[in-house]
Amino acid sequence: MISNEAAVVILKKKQATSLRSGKMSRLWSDIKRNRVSYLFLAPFLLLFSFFTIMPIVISVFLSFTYYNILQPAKFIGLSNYRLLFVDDDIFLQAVGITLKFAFITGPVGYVMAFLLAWLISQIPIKYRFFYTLCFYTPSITSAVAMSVVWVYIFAGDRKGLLNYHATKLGIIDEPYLFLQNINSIVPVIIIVSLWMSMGVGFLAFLAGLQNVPKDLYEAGSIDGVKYRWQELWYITIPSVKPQLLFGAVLQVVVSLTVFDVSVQLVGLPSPLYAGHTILVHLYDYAFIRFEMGYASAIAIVLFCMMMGLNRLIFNILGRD
Amino acid sequence: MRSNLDSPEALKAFKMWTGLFTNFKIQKQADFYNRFRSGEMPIGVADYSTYLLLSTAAPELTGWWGMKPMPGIEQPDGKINRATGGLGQTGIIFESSKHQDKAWEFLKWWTGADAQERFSSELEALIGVEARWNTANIEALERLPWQKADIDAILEQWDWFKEREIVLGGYYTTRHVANIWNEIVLNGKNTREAVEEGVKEINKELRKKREEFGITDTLDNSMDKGEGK
Amino acid sequence: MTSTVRSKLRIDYSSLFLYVFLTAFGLLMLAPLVYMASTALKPVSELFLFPPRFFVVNPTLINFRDLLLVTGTSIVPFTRYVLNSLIITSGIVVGGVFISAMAAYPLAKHNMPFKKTIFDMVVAALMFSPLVLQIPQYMLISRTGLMNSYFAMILPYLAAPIGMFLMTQFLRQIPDALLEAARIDGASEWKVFRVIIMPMLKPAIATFALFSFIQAWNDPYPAMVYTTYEDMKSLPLAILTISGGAGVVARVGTFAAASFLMIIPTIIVFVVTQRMVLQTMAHSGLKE
Repeated sequence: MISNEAAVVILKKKQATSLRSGKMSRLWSDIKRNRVSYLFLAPFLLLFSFFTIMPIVISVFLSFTYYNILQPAKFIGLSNYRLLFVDDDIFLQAVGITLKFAFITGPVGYVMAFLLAWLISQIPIKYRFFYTLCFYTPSITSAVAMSVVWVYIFAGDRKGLLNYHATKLGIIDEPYLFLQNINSIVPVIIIVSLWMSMGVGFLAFLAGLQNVPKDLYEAGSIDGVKYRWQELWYITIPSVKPQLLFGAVLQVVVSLTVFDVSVQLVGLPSPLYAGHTILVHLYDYAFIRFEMGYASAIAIVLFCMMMGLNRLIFNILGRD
Repeated sequence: MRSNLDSPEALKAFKMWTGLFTNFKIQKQADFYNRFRSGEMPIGVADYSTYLLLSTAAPELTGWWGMKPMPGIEQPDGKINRATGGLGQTGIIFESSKHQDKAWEFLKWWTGADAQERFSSELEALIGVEARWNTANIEALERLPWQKADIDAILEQWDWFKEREIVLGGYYTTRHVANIWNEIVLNGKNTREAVEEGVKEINKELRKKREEFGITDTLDNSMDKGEGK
Repeated sequence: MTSTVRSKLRIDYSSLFLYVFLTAFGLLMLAPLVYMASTALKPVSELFLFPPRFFVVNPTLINFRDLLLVTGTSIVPFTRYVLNSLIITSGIVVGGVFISAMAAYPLAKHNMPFKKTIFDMVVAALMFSPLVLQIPQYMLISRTGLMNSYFAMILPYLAAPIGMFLMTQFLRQIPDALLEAARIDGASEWKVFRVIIMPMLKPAIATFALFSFIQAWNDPYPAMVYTTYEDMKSLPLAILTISGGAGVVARVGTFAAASFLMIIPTIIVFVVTQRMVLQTMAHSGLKE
C-alpha cells in the first residue's frame, strides 16, 4: 500500500506529466487537424529548405572560418567579425555610402513607384498598357544597354551629354568627370537607381490597384469624397495595404543591395571607394581577394541590418 | 616585400603624369577613336583594340595612319626608354591533377607557333579582320598577315616590354595607382601625400596576403622592393 | 474612374497634365529599348561612335545575318540553346507559380501552428545576399549528383520567396466569407484552391510569372555554374560567348543583334501577362 504522502506525490507527478503531454498532444492534434495545410506547403518548404535554408546555414558556418574557395575551410571563430567592425575602414565607408543611398532611394523610389502605378490606374484601360510598358522597360532591357546610355549621359568626355551642354551654356569650362569625381559618384548612382526603381513592386501596386472593388469608390463619392487625393488617401491606400507591405519589403532589400548599378557606372573598385556599397565590398572580398569567410560575415551583418529595417516597416505599415 | 611606388623615381613619374592633366590640361577623358577620325587628336597612345577599331571601323582613314613604338624618355646614354607593360595570361596545371603530363603536352601544343597561327587564321577567316588574334607567340605573330610597317613597330616595341611582378595582393597596386591619380588630379591633393597614403595601403595588403599564405618575411627579403617600374 | 462632382474645365486640365507628364516621362524611359533596337541595325561604321547615335542612319541587317552564320559553325546547333532556355524558363515559371500559390494559400487563409514563423522565415530569406549563397548552392548540387541536368537549373529557383510573399499578400485582399461559403457547400480544400483561389490570384500570378520569366530567361549563371556539357547550356550563356568581351572589337554588332532578339520573348510575355492583370476585377464576388 502506498502511504498518503507518496500517493500525493505520485498524483502530482501524474498531473504534471498529463499537463505537459496535454500541451504537446494538443499541438500534435493541431498539426494533424491542419495536415492539409501542411500538404499544401510541403513542396515549397521542401525545396526551400534544401536550396535556400541549407546554403544559408552553410554560409553562417563559413562566416566563422577562413575560406579561400580553393582549400577547405579553417575555423577561426569570431575573428572575421572582429576585423570587420574594428579594423575595416572601407567597410565602414561602405556602410555609410549604402545607408546614404538607402535613405534616399528607398522612400523616394517607393513613393515614385506607387504614385506612378496610381497615376496609370487613373487612365482609361486601353492606354494603360503602353504606359506600363514604358515604365517597366528598365527592368526588361539588359544592364549593358542601359549602362551605355547612362555612361554617355554622364561621360567625362567633352562630348558626354551633360558636359557638352553645360560647356555650351557656359556653366563650366572644362568637362566634369561625373563618374570619377568622388563628390558626384553617389548622386549619379542615386539618380540611376531611382530611374530603375520601377520593378516588381510597381507591377504589384498596379495589380493591387486593379483589385480594389469599385463599389468602395462609389460609396465614397456618395459620402462626399470630392478630390482625387482624398480618394487616394481614404479609400485606395487602405485597400492595397498588403501590396504596400510587399513593395516596402522589396524596396528595403533592393536599396540596400545596390551592386550592378554601381559596378556598371563607376567600376569595381570605384575611385577612392566612393561607390563602394556593402555588396560591392562583399563581392570584392569573395571573388577578387578570395576570402569567402569574411564575405559571409559581411553578408550576415547586411542580413541583420535588413531584418532590423524590416521590423520597422512591419511596425509602421501594420502586419496584415 | 614592399611597394616601390614611394621611391624618388616613382614620385618623379607620378609628378610628370599628373602634371599632364593638372598643368597642361590634357583632356582627362576622351574617346580617342572618334577624335582621331574627326582629326581633333592626330596622335595618341592606345591599346590593341583601338588599333583594330581604326583598321576595321574607320575605312576613310585607310593608308593615312600608322602605328609606331611608344614615345619614351631620353636616357643619359642617348637611347630612348620606351618601356611599357602589357597583358599577360598564364596556364596552370593543378598539383592534384591526375593528368599532369597530358596537361603539359596540351599547353605546349597550344602555346606553340603552329597552333597559335592556325587559330588566328581560322578566326580571321570566319569573322574578319576584327578578330585578329593578338598572340603572344612571336613566331606565330610574324606569320600572320599584318601590314609590314605595323609588325615592325610591334616587334621593336617588344624589345622594351617590361611588366611588373605579379605578387600576392598585387591587385591593390593598380587600384591605388588609380586612387592616387584621382586624389591628385581631381581633388588637388599634394603629390607626395597622395602617393604615401596609397603606398601605405598597398603595403598593408601585401603584408596581409603574405601572412595569409604563410610566406614569412625574413630579414633578408622584408625590405625587398618590387622591381617593376 | 471617379470624377463625379467637378466642373468640366477642371477635369480637362488635370487629365491633360496627367497625360503630358506620363507621356514625356514614359518616352524617356523607353530610350534604352530604342537604343538596343537601333544598335542591332547599325553597320560597323556606326557602332563605335561617341556620342552614340540613337537612330541609325544606315540600317542594315548584316548583324542578324552574322548571327545566323555564327550559329551554323558551333558544335551544338543554336536551336538546342533556345530549347534548353525554353525548358528551363517554363519549368521555373510554371512550377514556381504553382508551388508558390500552394504555399501562399495556407499561409494567408488557414490557421495552423507555426504559420507566422514559416512566413517570417521565408521573407527573411529574401534578405540574404544571393552572391554569398552561390558557393554553398554549388556544393549542394554537385554533391547530390545533379550536375548537368535540367533539374539543377530549375529546382533551386522553384521555391522563390518573392512568389510566395506576393501571392500571400494578394490573398489577404480576398474576403474569407467567400471561402467559408464554398467550404459549407462541401468543397474540399483542394477544390477551393482550384476553383476559387487560383482564378482570384490571376493578377498576382501574372505579375509573378512576368518577373520570374524575366529572371530565368536572362540569367546565365545557372548554366555557367551547373553545366559542363555544351549541349546543356542556356541561351544567355551562349550569347555571352558570342562577343569577345569588353574591349574586343569583333562581333559587337552580332552581340547587339542577339541581345535584341532575347528581348522579344520578354515583351511577348509582358503583353500576355499584363492583359491578365488589366482585366479589371469588377466586383469582389460577394452579394451584399
